[in-house]
Amino acid sequence: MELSFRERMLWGVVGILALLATMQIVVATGLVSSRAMPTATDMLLAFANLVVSQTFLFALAATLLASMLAFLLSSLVGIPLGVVLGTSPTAEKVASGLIETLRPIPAIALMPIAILSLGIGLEMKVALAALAALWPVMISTIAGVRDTDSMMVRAGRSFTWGSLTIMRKIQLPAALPFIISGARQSVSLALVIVVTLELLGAREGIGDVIRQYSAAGRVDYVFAGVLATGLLGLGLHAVLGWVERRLMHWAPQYRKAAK
Amino acid sequence: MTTQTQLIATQAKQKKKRSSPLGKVAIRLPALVIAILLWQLAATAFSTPFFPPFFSIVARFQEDWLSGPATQLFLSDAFYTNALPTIGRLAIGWILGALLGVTIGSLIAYLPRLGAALEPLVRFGMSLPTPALLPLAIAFFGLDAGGKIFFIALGAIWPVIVGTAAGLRGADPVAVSSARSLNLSPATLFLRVRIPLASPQIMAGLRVSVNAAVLLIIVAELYATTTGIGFMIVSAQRNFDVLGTWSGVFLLALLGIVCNGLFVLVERRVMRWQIIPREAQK
Amino acid sequence: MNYVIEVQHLAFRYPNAPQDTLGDIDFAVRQGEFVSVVGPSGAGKTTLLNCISGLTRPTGGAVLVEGEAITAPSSKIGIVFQDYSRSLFPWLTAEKNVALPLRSRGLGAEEIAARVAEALASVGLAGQEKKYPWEMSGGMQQRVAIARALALEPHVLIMDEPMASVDAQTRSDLEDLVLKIWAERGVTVILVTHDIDEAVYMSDRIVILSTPPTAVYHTMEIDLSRPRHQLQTKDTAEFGHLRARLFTEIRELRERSALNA
Repeated sequence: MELSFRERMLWGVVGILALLATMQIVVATGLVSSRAMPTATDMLLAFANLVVSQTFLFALAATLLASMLAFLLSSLVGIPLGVVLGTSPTAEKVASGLIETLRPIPAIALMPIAILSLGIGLEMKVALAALAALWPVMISTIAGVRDTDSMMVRAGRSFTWGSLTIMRKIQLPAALPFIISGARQSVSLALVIVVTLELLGAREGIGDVIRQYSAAGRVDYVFAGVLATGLLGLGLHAVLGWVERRLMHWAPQYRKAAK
Repeated sequence: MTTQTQLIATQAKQKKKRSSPLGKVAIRLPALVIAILLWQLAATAFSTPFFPPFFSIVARFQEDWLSGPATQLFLSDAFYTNALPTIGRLAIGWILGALLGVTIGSLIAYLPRLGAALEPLVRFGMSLPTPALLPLAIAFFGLDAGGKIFFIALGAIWPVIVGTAAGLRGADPVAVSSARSLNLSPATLFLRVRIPLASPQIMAGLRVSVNAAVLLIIVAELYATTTGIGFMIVSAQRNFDVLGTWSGVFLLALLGIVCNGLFVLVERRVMRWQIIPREAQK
Repeated sequence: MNYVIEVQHLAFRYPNAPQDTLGDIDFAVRQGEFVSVVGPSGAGKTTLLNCISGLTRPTGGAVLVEGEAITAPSSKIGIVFQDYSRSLFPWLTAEKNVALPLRSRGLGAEEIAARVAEALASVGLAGQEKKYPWEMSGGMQQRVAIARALALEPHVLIMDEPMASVDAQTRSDLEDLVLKIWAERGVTVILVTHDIDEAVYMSDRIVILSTPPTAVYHTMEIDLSRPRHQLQTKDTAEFGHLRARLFTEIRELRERSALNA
């Protein structure tokens, strides 16, 4: 049984309204303490106040700045490294021991050390978020370069191209769909880490704002802040997805024309 | 869902290339050893306050966590009082999230209207930086074990919901209808046919949720705690006890590595049947 | 005699392989000649092409192009690969695919544009310049690949089963297109094929390869008059006779190798 687009939207709206109504009822009737959860109306009011406040907009800018810097740093390191490891199977095998050991280490675990050596400002956020964001972009670059069709590389060699030209004109563009989808994961991850670090005490940013409201016991603003953070994540997803489809219109998964 | 399908595809590829375990270690170990030696040498040579030599950290790690008597499996008292509860909360929270996630994901797959109604919430949960739920969990349950378990379950649930729903919806209709013709009871059909058919995507969801759970327990540990690994680390950090901080960080890092490794082991066992049919399709 | 390509005692063995893939291959191609290479599957035809075009270093013997030993890909040789869908670049339009190798040749923009337009027109793709390969049929994609090789103005065009993955009608269209280009440009063509009719229809001469370790089993002169025509030429008694001879030779070759094995 498939639902039409209209039906899905309709039920989606019903779902949101039901959720808000439940919130409203359980808190208004005292089933859930108003110190644990705001009513839906209080949350939405707080949300409306929050998103137009200067504090929040500055915080938003700080969070986005740190996330973007971290992402840029991770790409600057991850893409060239991925290209090298993707080109040389031996290098990849040798490095894989290190990669597979380091990758599961949550970057957040390094926060106490990072605070000691870098403080609680932008540098610390960028360093840790970049470390976390390094893996997706690097690993997808490795996969993309490694899986470039050998026929294309041979075509490049038949044009009397050297390996650097082949890398630049064939392997990199051919790997781009992989690299971009990895980069998309890296951006999301950078945002998650930055917000988390702010929640845990890093200076500035939306996580910092939520933490302060939490400390002040303003559950309405805490919920509003979480709502705003989620919407920010959704927005970022949508924008990055759009960029990916625009850039990668030629890649098999985005082609409009049939073969 | 493309990321998860890619994930599965790369995993299948890795499996195909699997060589002898000894050969694997032989080629992978050197980079690790060299990295550790470089750390040791650099830290000894330049002696910066925040990056002590690797083996000094290892020594402190052993003293902190592994100095217990044989009757305690050599684990120290500090491990039992501070680390074990943390690990317990992680396990309970993740299992709770995984079970709830599979249940809700199944409901979504079978009840399209419910699925459509929950879709905004699920999308929201998937794109939310889940650590942001911590203040919410605390407001709900307080700072104790219950709050942390709830927090981990709440963060780990989303990828499992999405993976389960997508896996059940995308199941091969031929396999399902041929199983139906065997006159199985609905429960058997679900548990023995549909769930196994959906298992690659469920596993992919679980894998993402394990990483999320490890991240979340660390966040919970570092956020205003009074006991646990996080408390030890934060108090070491406030006293500028760099070695003590590193020792705790190592334990958290090890937690990440072990959880990931355990999951990979389980996944290989559970998904063994996946390899052969997929190879044959090519 | 003016030879463009001289293959001299060419041998090739893959690392760790028990025997040579190419044993001792010896033949030469005249300026402007159309030569087909046929042989049983597994004879190493693609390996031979890779050696001639400098993509693979032989382990024995040599290949001379216009008298010079070849050690790396040369601008005198253009290659059309078997699998167009894998050798064209999906992120580039037809014209950009053709222009790409020209860009690194130090040509001016106008010269590049002129060569691209001319090459695409000569394969009958004028007006299709802005299409992406994946928006085209298989036959059209292979034409783009041919245009890409032509735009480099090679002296020798090497084609590795270029008609293998298209349907029958497209195939005969492509065959005539290649013959037309060959006649107009005076380029030397080496065509690898597994299709007996195609080899006879297209060639001046057919080089028949043996099974590995591969050597030249036999060479067949095809003296059918030119220009050739899909219906008339293939209808002549001569064509049928040549076709039967080639077929017999290849069958003999197979039986012999089966005996040896």
